[in-house]
Amino acid sequence: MEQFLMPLFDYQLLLLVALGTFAGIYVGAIPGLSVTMATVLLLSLTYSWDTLSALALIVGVYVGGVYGGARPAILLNMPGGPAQIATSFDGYPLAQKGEAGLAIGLSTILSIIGGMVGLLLLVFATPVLSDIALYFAHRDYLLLALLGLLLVGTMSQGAFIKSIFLACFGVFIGLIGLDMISASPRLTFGLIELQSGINVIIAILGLFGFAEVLYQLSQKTPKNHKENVVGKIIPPLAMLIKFLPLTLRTSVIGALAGVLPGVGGEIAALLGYDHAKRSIKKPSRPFGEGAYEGVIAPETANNAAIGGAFVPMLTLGIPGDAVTAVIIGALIVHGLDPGPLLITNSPDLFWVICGSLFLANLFLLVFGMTGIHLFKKVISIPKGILMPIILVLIVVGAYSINNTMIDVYWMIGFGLLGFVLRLFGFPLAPLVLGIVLGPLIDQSYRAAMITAHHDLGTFFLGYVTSPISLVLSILFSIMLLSTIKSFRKKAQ
Amino acid sequence: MIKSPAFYFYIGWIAVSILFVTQAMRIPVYDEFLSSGRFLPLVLSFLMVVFSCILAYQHFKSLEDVTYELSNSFYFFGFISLVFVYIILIPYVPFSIATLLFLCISFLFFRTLSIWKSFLLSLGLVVVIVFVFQTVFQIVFP
Repeated sequence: MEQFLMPLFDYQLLLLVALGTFAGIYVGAIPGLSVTMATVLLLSLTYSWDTLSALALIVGVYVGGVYGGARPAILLNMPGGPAQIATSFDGYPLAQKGEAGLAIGLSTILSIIGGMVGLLLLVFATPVLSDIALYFAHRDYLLLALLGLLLVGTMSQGAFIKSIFLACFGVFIGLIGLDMISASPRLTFGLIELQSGINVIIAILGLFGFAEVLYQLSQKTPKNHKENVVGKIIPPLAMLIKFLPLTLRTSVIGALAGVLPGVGGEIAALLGYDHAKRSIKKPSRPFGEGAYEGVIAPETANNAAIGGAFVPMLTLGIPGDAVTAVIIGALIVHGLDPGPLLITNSPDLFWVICGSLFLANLFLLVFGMTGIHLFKKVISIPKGILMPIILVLIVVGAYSINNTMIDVYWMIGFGLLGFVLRLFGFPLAPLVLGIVLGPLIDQSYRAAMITAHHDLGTFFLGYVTSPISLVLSILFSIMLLSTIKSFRKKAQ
Repeated sequence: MIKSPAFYFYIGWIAVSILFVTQAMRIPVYDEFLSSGRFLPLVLSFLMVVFSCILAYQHFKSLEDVTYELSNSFYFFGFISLVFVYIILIPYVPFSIATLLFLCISFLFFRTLSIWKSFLLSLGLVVVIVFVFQTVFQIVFP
């Protein structure tokens, strides 16, 4: 307990968590600058620091960065990263209705509850959950990825076949690059530049960023055009109480998804959004048209996933997501050995991480609620000024990923594609979902098939004989049937 | 119908899907087909061919026309041209100068600010962008 409270009473740790959270919010809000990138940069800066100070700063940036990505998703329809794709589905329509402030206010306060649920999971369920996650087989990861892909049904906006087509296209694009088993170039069209694959951030910047800029400019006169106002920020208590049950459910979903190694905040957010869409019969507005539930669910889930992502990292030395992979690197740099003995050998480190997570969530409330005014000013800028600035930020964001102009060209290509697809009534989210999930589907399917000795019978038998696989199969079947049913209802 | 942009759009997608099938067919199979790198791309590209044909059929059957509402084609195409010039300029001109020119010309193009205000705002933005990205995030601009 004393170590848990250490960041609260040690002014240096307190300041570092505060600084990290503040910086994380604004780094996360810049499309293209990922939390992972910020953490990597911090790793080099904090090399000579003591471990606890470095961790306090990194945890702050992690929490702030995951939260910060929601701002551009809501205000500009430009997710800060993959974990905020689902947030933009309802967040941006809310901004167009002049309710962006309330959407950010609600998501800030309720995200903190998500973060606390993730923290509770980290503190109390670490040993149990890490044992369960250890038993996940490749076929189970395949089912998880396919569960994510079922979200295409909820993202289709009535255009189901168009969505399936784009999801297939997205998965295909996600497979471009070096084959993970044979290491030979695959689907590269003979281009060396494609051998490293297509970065999902580039696709997001193009499809949601550049395409949005083009779409905005194609619609109305940029001169003197003003965006809708943000509106009020502090949500009424009744509203918070109303959304509390959903928040708790999606927080648990997010925290559990975060525990699974490699799943991360993006799938947690999509699962949260899907849960909200399936479980809420009477949302505040139809989903996709500015439902508050559609913002709260992914935001609480991706924040809760942070605590979950630390579980396999601290107990098994396996990263829960990209950021925890970098943190493992930081621990190794500081002479520690991440793995089963980490908590036993360095209990102070575990408790300082928990304490820093707790503090970072509190700082989120302070910086999250106050920073909205700055963003409010940003979106009231006329389009003729805002769009060129956004374009420059997108170009810089795309360039900064690998320090190469090729990524900028790809981003422009994705942007033009996204703009044309949007004109023809294609929803863009399934395409991004496909790109995100494509590699996971391919890797887990092929690994599962190799484990089953290339025998389809053995492959499918695994889903019945293993308890974890059986539970996931039942869940998958229920969700598949529900998606088909909902599609048939819409078609009628 | 033949002249409709939708015609070229859907035919284009069918062509892309067929191209993907040919690319998938070229992936070598080292061991078993089911666990090879070819299996999933082949399935996906076939699905794309099927779905693009369904979409084209649905479109031509209903003859629904898509509304290509470019209510501001002057600004739209003008801005796209500026973006292309900017992207082409970046590798040849220092990033800060290319960005300064792009921002300044864009603001003047949209007639939102006067010449001096456009220049000063662009200059301020370039300074901030270069400081944040180059100094803080250590990104090496071209």
